[in-house]
Amino acid sequence: MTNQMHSVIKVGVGLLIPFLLIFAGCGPSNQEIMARERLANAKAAYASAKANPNVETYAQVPLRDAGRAVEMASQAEEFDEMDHLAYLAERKTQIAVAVAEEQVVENEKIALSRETEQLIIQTSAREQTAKREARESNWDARASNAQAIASSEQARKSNAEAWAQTQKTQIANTEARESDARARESNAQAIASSEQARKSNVEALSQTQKAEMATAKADKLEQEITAMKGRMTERGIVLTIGDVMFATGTATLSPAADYEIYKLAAFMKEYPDRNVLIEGYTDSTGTEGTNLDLSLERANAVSDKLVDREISRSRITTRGFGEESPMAGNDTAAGREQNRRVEVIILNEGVAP
Amino acid sequence: MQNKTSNRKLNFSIFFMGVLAMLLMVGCAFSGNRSIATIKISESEKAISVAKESNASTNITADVRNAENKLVQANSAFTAEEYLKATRLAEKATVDADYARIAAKAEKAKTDANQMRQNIGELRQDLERTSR
Repeated sequence: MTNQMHSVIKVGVGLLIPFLLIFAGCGPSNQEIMARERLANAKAAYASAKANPNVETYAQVPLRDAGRAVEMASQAEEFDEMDHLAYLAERKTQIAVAVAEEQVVENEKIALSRETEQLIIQTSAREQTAKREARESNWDARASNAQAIASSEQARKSNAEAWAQTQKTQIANTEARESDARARESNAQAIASSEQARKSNVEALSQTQKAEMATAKADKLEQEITAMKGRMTERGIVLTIGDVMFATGTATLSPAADYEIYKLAAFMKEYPDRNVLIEGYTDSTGTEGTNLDLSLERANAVSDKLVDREISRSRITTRGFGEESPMAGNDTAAGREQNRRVEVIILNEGVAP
Repeated sequence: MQNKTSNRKLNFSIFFMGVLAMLLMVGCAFSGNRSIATIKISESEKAISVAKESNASTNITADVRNAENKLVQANSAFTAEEYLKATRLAEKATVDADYARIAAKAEKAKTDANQMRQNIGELRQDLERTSR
């Protein structure tokens, strides 16, 4: 009996020990499972990125970097190392994808910039034509008016002549009748000229209405500038061009600013008596000297764009203030970004820049 | 008898030097890990600060906060002399920050492009109105 029990116990223990060992962690641990899963995900993400033609084209270097990271993760000897390296590999793949995405959008911006420029050219041409047509109609109207006046003057003279004749002598009735006839002819002519003048006036009126629409548009432009971003101050209308309109740390203007500057230039053409002051500001990071330089360079960049739109340089003054007059605190990233700005002040009429 | 004693002494010396060598290696490994951890932590601090500066106005702050949290944990691990843990946390924080920076850059480019599309829409509308 005892022997049998011993055997059972031995077998039981013999069977039990492996189970205990498994529970004690000699099978795959949670950590191993997690690490393998993360590695699998990293490999899948990398494969997907590699298959994306944009990533291969625009993010070669970050993609290679991610590939190496996947390799290293695959060759990890321990699972905590594998998990860590797989995490890095996943992130590096995400970085490669983001780099490619950004470049694709930058390319789109180039095409959009060209389209914007085309439309601006068309708009300018359209406005020039409208103004020219209005002017020409005005001239025509004036010419017709002058003609009508001349004919009326003629008619008056003939009438006076006729009257003088009838007054002078009764016998010269026939002559008087002839003068009368001439006067009637002149009158008819005068009426015809007046009719012409009236037609020209009507046309001139419609053209004037169009011109008025253009002026109303200029008023609307002023409203737009004031309403959207400009603040009315005693010095004039202040537009702020924010840091986002420049490539980080440079004086290179984004093409997204082209339209704003075009509108500003159009406004300045409508109001040739108004000049602008362009003032650049930075935050307090870096040296005072570099900040002074950068702030002036940014102001000049805006000025150059205005000159490209045919605004005379004599109407523009640029200044760099560097770190002076911050708008917000320099202790937070958000405050620093606010301080990095260019202010365009549309001066009141007649004020020298 | 003499041989046995000198053998023992020799064995003991070898053993002692072996232990010393191992201690030295372990010691070097420890200080090696420490300086690596220091470097990695400093790298991640830089990466986070660059990520924050270049993209203050975009919405990817969650990724930056991720990175910052890991940096805090890395510093704690460093203080507790867990240098491998500190190194790995710092490495993770660096890639998190790099990703945040690039993602914000892509986001900004998209915002620019949308603004430009809006501008184009306005220009087209104006042209249509004046072409009566």
